[in-house]
Amino acid sequence: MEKTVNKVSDYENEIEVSLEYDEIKPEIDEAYKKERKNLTHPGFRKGKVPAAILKNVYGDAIEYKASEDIANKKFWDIVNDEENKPISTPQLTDLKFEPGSKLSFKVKYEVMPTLELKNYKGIEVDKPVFKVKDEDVEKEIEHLMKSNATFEDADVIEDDGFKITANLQRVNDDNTPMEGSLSENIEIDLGAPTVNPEIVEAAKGKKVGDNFNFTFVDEHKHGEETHKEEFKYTAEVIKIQKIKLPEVNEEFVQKISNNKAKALDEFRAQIRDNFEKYFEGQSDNIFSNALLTKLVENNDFTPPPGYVDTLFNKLLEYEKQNAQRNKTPNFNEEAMKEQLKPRSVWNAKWQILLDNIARAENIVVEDSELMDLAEKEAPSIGLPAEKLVEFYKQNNRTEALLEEKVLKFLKENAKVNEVDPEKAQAKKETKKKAPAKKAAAKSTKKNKDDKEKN
Amino acid sequence: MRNVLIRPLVTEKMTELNESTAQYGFIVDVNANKIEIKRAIKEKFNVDAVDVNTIKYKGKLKTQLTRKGRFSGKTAQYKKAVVTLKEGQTIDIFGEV
Repeated sequence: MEKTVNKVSDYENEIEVSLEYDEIKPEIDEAYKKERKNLTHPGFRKGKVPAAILKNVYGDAIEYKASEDIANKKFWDIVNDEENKPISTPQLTDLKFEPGSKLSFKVKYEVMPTLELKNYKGIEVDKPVFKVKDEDVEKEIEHLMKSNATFEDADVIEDDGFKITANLQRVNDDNTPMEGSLSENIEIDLGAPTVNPEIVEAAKGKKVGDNFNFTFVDEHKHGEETHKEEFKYTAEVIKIQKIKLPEVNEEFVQKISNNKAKALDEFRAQIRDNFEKYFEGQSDNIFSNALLTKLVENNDFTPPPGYVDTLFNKLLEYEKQNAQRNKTPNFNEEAMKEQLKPRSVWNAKWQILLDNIARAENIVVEDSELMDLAEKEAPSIGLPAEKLVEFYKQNNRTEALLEEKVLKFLKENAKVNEVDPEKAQAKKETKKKAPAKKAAAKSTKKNKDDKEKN
Repeated sequence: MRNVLIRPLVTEKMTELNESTAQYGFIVDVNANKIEIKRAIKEKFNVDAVDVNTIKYKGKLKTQLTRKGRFSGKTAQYKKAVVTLKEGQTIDIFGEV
């Protein structure tokens, strides 16, 4: 076998392979055996045609068909031993087969490009540090109280501490009912923050059987344009229930916390702790995203198009499966494709950078690390650790671990600026307003000057 | 001059006989006799036949019913010859397919 690897570009190689007929004979014989099972010939039952007849009658067709499979197999055998493995679907550009003589082929394939890494250490990134406020804890307790509330039938709606059941009828501008727009037995918690305040005001003082009107304004944007639509409704009260919140005592605390907390203060501390953990996770996510965005910005390049396509197809498949699993109605594949295009380009850039950083910093995933992970996870999965390691290797777990390690390396080498998210937001808004003010001042001055000239 | 050997008989059964007992089957001229077949084999393949068995098949009667009435006919009659060769000799029958 003769092979030569030519570098076509920074990210593309072309391999040229030439094989003698004797080297591919076992595969050709195998192809005859395989085809024999499905071929018929007069005088023979299906699958019983002798090899000699097959060669005489169908020989060329079988061998040409087999030559493509052989080229494919040989290509993967060769590149699996090479350092630069294909990162997208390779393309067979030339195949020459002379039955009984030789087989030669050319394959173009994309490889991980080697980049000149710039500024990947010491990246300066803001990390928002969320602080848990007392009011957040109190709101959570209030929410828990509401979800454990009991209801008592009442005659009149006095305030927002009531839950009502009503039939909602959409009406025209002249208050005549709109056909087919009646929603029956709709439950409305008047104290819920999402409820239209107009409903609460209009419902006050109403009894079972009474009606009240309200309007609902839907405002949404279509690109730059803002669309505003008003919906008028008449509600007929069917049922009124007073919301009775439970008393916050030790019994309530024990019930809500599954006996994890005994006193209210302990429960408050637990809620605070949960919030802190959640905020920490969120803060870390924001920090990681900002860090990677800056890294990609610092090292901008055009990723191999085939690799981008491969990632794009993977993402699209994942989204389709997700939509199927979650039974998403009106899944728009075209819109999803548009959305995924920039994401796949960004992902391709990050994956290439990741590979380059791992090589530059000698970051690798050892088999022992996979084994450690398998030993940790084996009891919960119920598989022997050795089998789990095999499974990890087949399912890109090594790549995921490598990504974790590189990300950890980048975080450790980044310059972190801890910022108060509220202050940062306020600063942003002031910055936004400043140019507008400047522009307004400029135009006033210009008008004044023009007047003076006149 | 008529052709004695019309075509080789390539079937699963004959392939088995080729390999086990060096017997080869042919469709031959209906009027050819065993001596003529032996001679034709020698001429065509340069091998010696030690035995020739022949079977003559009569044409089958075929009837077809149509709107215009019944049509009857016959398929052609043919003769099959199974030739046993001298030990060690073979014919590349598949080259003839």
